[in-house]
Amino acid sequence: MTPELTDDALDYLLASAGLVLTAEQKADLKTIHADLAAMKARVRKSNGKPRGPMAELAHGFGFGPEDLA
Amino acid sequence: MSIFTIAEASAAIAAKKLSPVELTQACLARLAATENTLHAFVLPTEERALADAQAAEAEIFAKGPRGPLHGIPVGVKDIVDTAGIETTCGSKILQGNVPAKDAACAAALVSAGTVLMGKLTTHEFADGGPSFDLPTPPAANPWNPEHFTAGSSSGTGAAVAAGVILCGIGTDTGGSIRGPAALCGIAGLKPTYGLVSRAGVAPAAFSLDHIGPMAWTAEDCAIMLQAMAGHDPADPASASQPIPDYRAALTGHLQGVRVGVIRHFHEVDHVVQPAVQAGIDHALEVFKSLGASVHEVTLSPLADWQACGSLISMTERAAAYEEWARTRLGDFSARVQRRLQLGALVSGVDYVQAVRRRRELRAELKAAMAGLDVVVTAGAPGEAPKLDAVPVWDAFAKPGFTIPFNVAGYPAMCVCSGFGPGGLPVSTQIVGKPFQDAMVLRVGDAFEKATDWRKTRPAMVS
Repeated sequence: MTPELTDDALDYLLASAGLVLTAEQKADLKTIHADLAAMKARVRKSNGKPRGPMAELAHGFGFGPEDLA
Repeated sequence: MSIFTIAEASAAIAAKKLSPVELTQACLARLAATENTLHAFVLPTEERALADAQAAEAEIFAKGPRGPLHGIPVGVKDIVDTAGIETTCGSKILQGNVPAKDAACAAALVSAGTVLMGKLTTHEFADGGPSFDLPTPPAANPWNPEHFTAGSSSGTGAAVAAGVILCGIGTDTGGSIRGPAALCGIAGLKPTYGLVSRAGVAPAAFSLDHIGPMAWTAEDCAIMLQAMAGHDPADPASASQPIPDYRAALTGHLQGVRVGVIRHFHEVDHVVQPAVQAGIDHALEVFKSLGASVHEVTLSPLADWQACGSLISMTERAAAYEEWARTRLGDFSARVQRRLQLGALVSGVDYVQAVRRRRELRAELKAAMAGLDVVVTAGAPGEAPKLDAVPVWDAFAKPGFTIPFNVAGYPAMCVCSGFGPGGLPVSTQIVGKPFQDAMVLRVGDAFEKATDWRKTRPAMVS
């Protein structure tokens, strides 16, 4: 079930992002909340188990000779 | 003068049967005849084009051509920096912005001796569109100007199809080369991620952004890619890989080539129009007739790829344009404002989950392509819609066929595979393994040369 996006929650998220929207823009943005929530569900595992380390991006610092100087 | 491909024009120029100046004048005449309808250019550069053509002609006469692009009229998408020429990204925000140097890909075309015809229409910052609240109108489709070109390399698609330029630079974050190629009936290659430098090109979503060639044929894309590909330390994602002779790979046959078809993408996940289906089915028969074998491939649903790519794109785009979104949101088009607002609704955890899903999807594609050379699916769901029929929240419409290969970073090309009942083109998408762009071009070229689809230009320039 899609969690509700209340007006207060939307105001908080927009303020956090530093965006100033009109009431009309906010209402427009709320129309896609369910679609966006569906996208977010699709990138999570459906069995509820955490992903393993092979789903992590390898993080390489790429240390070069100048780092060792 | 008839409309040449690069392969035809370069051969005629080398044989001194075609003058770069005459070729450029013919293209300028075509520009003058079509631009009021097509709006393919945000800034034509006629004087520069004639000067480039005269210089090319003099050099070719004295020393011979530098290569197949010498004296060839080209265009550059307006998110690509061009030295001394205004580069606006199609936005009010960058009006008056004149870069000091060329982007790496634009510099590569200059070095090859091309003739710059101008800066090409783009969706604003390669996003959203079609928009009617920008400094210039959206590009129109040469096959029917009431219809959409797709985007964001909209001007490149329109100008190539109309023969105003012989090729142009496009960029592709979710399909912005392949979409216009599909709807405008040309060839467009999104190369392997990192093969062509992004230095000097405005970002859309850094981990999905690709630069690539758009031209009438796969062979012309091969010629253009040869000039653009290569390592560039100015791009942190630039790959260091040997660059093969792309044109030499175009053998004309597909003996031993193993083609996979991701049938569920276009037959189940997003059912395409009958003309697209017929085009893909015909392409598979042509591949077989040229010596290829065809195999079925199953991947995660198209919507999974779309969700993964969209969440990454929304976040990276919002990060790239955060400052202007906070301070100048109203200066963006309404469509781009909507896209930038989405960034506020995607959390850091959402983004990381999408990146982790991306790794799983890439592993899935790699396993599915083991033993295959290319896979195919649709490039677009049907003929181009009307310009006023594109939904404002199009990112949440049915999943697209192109974004999976931005998510994966694999090379992918759209080629024209027929026409629909409205007389507009339909396409087939060919996808290769990383850095096997030559194989993608080979399959596309063999298909084009075995069929008649490259013989028809839009009526407005025929």
